[in-house]
This record gives sequence, C-alpha cells and structure tokens, in this order.
Amino acid sequence: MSALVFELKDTPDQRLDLSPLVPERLDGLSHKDIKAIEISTTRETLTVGDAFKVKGKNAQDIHFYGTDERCDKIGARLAGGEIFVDGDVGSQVGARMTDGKIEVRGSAGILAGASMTGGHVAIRRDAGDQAAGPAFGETMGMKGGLLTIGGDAGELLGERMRRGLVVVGGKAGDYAGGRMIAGTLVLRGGAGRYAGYGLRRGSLIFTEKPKDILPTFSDSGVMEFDYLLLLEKWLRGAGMRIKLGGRARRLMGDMAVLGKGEMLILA
Amino acid sequence: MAKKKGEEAELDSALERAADLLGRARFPVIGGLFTDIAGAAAALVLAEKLGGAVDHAAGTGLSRASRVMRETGATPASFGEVRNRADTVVVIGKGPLERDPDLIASLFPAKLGLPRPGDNKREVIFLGLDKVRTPRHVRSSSIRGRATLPELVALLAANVRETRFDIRDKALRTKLDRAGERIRNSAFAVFVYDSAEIEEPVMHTVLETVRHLVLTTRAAIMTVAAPGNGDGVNLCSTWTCGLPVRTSFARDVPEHDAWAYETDRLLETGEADALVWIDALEGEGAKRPKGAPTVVLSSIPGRASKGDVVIEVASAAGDHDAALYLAPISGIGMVKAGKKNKDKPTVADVLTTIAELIDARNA
Repeated sequence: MSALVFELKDTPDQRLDLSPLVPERLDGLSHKDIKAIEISTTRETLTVGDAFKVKGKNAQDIHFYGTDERCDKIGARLAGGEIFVDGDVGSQVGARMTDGKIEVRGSAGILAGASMTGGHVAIRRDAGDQAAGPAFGETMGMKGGLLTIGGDAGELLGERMRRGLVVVGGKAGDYAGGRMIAGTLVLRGGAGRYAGYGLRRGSLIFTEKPKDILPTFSDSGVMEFDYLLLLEKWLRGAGMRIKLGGRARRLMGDMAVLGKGEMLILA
Repeated sequence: MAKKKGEEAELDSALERAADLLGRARFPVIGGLFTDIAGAAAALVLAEKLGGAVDHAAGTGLSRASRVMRETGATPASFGEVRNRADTVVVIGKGPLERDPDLIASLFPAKLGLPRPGDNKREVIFLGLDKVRTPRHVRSSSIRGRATLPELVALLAANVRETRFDIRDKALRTKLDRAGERIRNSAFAVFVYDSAEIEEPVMHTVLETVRHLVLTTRAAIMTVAAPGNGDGVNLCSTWTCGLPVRTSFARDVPEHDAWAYETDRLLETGEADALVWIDALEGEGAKRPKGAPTVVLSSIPGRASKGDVVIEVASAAGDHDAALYLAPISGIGMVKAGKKNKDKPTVADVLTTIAELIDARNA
C-alpha cells in the first residue's frame, strides 16, 4: 500500500497545527474526511484540503512534501508508525511522542522532540532552541527515545532532560544540557557557553574539547569507560558513523546544584 | 481627540476605522499593554472577540518568570519583608538597580519598622556589578571578576553549598568564600534579580540555592517589577483566562506559547496582520514595533505619529485613577490620578467601544 502523502500547495499565511496528522488519528479515514481536518491557528479556518494535496492510503507511513517552518507539531504525540518530511518543519516536531520514527530532511524549529518519551526523531539539518527540552505545560524535557540532529542545535538543548539520548552532529548553542536530571547528550561539534549549567545528573559527551567549561565542573582526570564502547556500538548499529573509544576526561558537576552529572571529553 | 493619518479627526471616526481594521484582520496582536488593570481586562476581552493574541512589551521577562514559577515554583518574599526582615540582600546583575535606582535606599531605611531575626548587621552583596552607595548602617561588598554573571551565580551557589570548584582568580575566590559564609550564616538571605536580565537556568540555580538554604535557615528571592505594569497585566491575564501574556485566543481554548505569540516575531514574520499598540501609562513609554497596520492608543500622541489609526487616550495614574501593580506592596493597588482629566477616554473605554462596534457589524 502506498504511503499517505501530504504535499503543501503554497506557503501558508498562518502557522499550521499538523498534530492531527498522525497514524492513529488518520487510520481508516477517507481522503474526504482527512481533507476536512482543521489545521488553522487563526480565526480564518484552514483545513488539510485547503493547504495540502492528499494522495496515497497507508496511514502508518506518512510523507510530507514541500513543508516549511510554519508547519508546526508534525508527529506531536506520535504513538507509532513512520513520518517522513521532505522540507523544513516548524516548532514541536515529535513533541511528546511515545513511539515511532520521524525523519526530517530539512531543519526544525524550536522544541524538537520536547518531552518525548520514546521513538526516534532524526533531523538532517539544524534544530532550533530547546530541542529535547520541556514542552509547554511540562515540567521535564525528553524522557526517553532518540533525537539525532545532523547540523547545529539551538540554545538550551536537552534542558531539564530526564532520560533518552540526543546526538548532535554540529555545534550546540548556549546552555546545552542545562538543568538535566538524567540522560545523555553526544556533542560532536562542541557547544556554546554554559554547557551543563545546573546539571544535576546525566552525561554530556564531547568528541572534542569544548571552548568554555564552567568553573563549577570539577576535573576527575582521564578514565576508561566501558559504556562509551557500548554506546559507540549501539550508535553504529543505529546507522551513525561515530567513534567514541573508551577513554575520556571526566568532569563532575554542576557543583552549583546537585553536582552528580558528568562531562566526558574524549581523550 | 483622535488623529487619522496625521490629520485631526473625530474620535468616533477613529473608532470606526479601528473597528474596520481589526474586524477584517486574520490574526491581530494586542501588544505594548502599558496600561492599568481595567485596560488589560478590556484588551483580553477584545483579543478573545478578535481571535487574536495578547503580549506585553516586557513579555520576555514575564514569560521567563511565569515558566520558572510554573515549572518548579519559587519562594518570593514581599518588598516589605525584605526591607524589614532580611539581614543579607544579594543583588544579582545590573538589572535591579537599572529598573529601580532607589532600590537600595528603599530596602535599607535608617529605621526598621519590625523586629529583625538574627544578630547580623545588615549587608548587601552586589554580584556582577560595582558597589553603589549604601546607608552607613549597612555593610556592602561587590563580587566581580572576569567571570560572567551566570558564572558568578554558579560560583556563589557552589560556595554556599561548600562544594568543590576550580577558579584561579584568588581575589575572586576570597570574595566568594566570604559571601558564601555570610549567606550560610544569615537569618534571612534574599536574592534580588530582574527576570528580563538573567536566563532561566540562572534563575533556577538561584532558586536551588534558596532551597538549599531553607533546610537550615530562611531565604527567598525578590524580583524587581517589570516595566509598564507588566506584573499587573500578567496577573490580570492569568486570573482572566488561566494563562500569562503571549496567549492566543484564535481557537476554542486560549493557548499560551512564549515563542509563537511574541509581538515582534509575529510582526516580522507577517503572521500577525494587525497590531493594537497600547502605551498609556504615566511616566513610562514602550517602543512600538512596526510591520503591520496599527491602531495606537497612546497618552502621548507624539510617541505614535505614524500609526494608521491613532487615538489619544488618558494616561493611567496621570489623567485618571488606576489599579496598578505596586512593587512596595507586592500587589495591586489603586493609584490616584496626578491631575484628573476627563476629556480623554481611557484605554478600557476605547477598547470596549471598538469591541461593541465590531459586535454591531457582526450582528
């Protein structure tokens, strides 16, 4: 069965709330029913049929084409199935998702993977601020699953993250890993200022020495970490070309708060 | 009196034109909101009718403070408590004194009204700024260095907890050690900051420090009031619709999004196609953004000469009595007009009339 395809007709003049376009909501609906779903965010009513050409049938395999940064909440609360996006996406892609996979070929806006608890969000290019952070109304950031960002990430990456794994190919912005409670960030292109600010527990893994390290992180020296080898194996199994090795300099922090987190800088 | 495209026009005509503009708009934003509680309440009613959004010119700081409060809670102290009972006050950054240059004089009066806990002489610690003049009976010190303000906050927090941290600057280390000891030994330490100046993770570190201190003593935070009755407007929004400013009324239920409903962003991206800009408080002015047809409600017409529809309104607390957020009582109180002037309509009058005109057209 062919994928269910949504092709954006034109640049929308308002932000679109695409959170209803997930498999569990669309399964079994006719094209007519799907086209009648409201996606407007202003008082001017806009339906799926107004904004998108709809083709195909398989609601477990949804494809978006021609999307831009006004297409918000793609795959929000996704509980299974796959979503493929050929274009940029707006805010909250994959926010609060529990399972399934979202692949974005372009860049994402703020709050990508916010408060997600499972599944995989893969963003080929950049992600905006607060990726894997707390979604609006939530008290914690990402609580499980995998978020991969091929390009750069904005500020407050993984803020208040509770569990899960984030891998950034480019540079992360300021306050990466801020107030993390647990979970792991792998930062392959360094980070801006104040990485790990307010870190309680959890791990920030730098493949290169970051430019700035907070003075409230305490150097524990270079050590062997078997779990880095396991993580490397797991990441390679997930299709990522990455080398972590088993040795890293460990800094404990943030001593301004609980101080049971760690920064690992590969040695 | 009202102005239309720079020319004098009757108030009725301006109101009609404003109603036309807003009635046609797809997604208007009501911004600035330098107004009293009645003006804010009328703005919320109009926003709901129009399916638009509300924001305040000080929305960035207000949103940060709201998010911090919602996420982890906070332990704020009232101005009176700090003035009468705090033995140690830590002023974080330049923001608090820029917002209120008389803050130190107000917090440290020569005579205290209430008994104060502990035996410490009162002290103020300036973190990330130079010492300013303090009354004779108050000790003061300043902690500065090459470190940035977020780093200084983290270092002081670590010192209060007596955990290990690495700095090479011995002079800074000595100052931090002394401040940390003083704060630990305080009967009531209060950290003062401006939510518009420091980022959320930094605020949370301050709050974590307070939570650590209250295990053994008393501690709290005090934030300086936002400009333009921001705290009053934010409270009014919260008690009216359950959400702070930067809320949209376009859909079935109000939706708060501190990023999506920021005035400047909405105008820059063209997502908002009309703006209602309210700037009507005695003594304060808000800088108006551009980018959409605008209805300007201003108490100083000179501030808004290029608006599409300009309506001169009375200034709250200048021309008419007004309910405003008052920092000294940490609450909302009535402020008498400086010089009553009934010739000009209030913001609430104008917004209510515009809402009625829109209703009449839709009837």
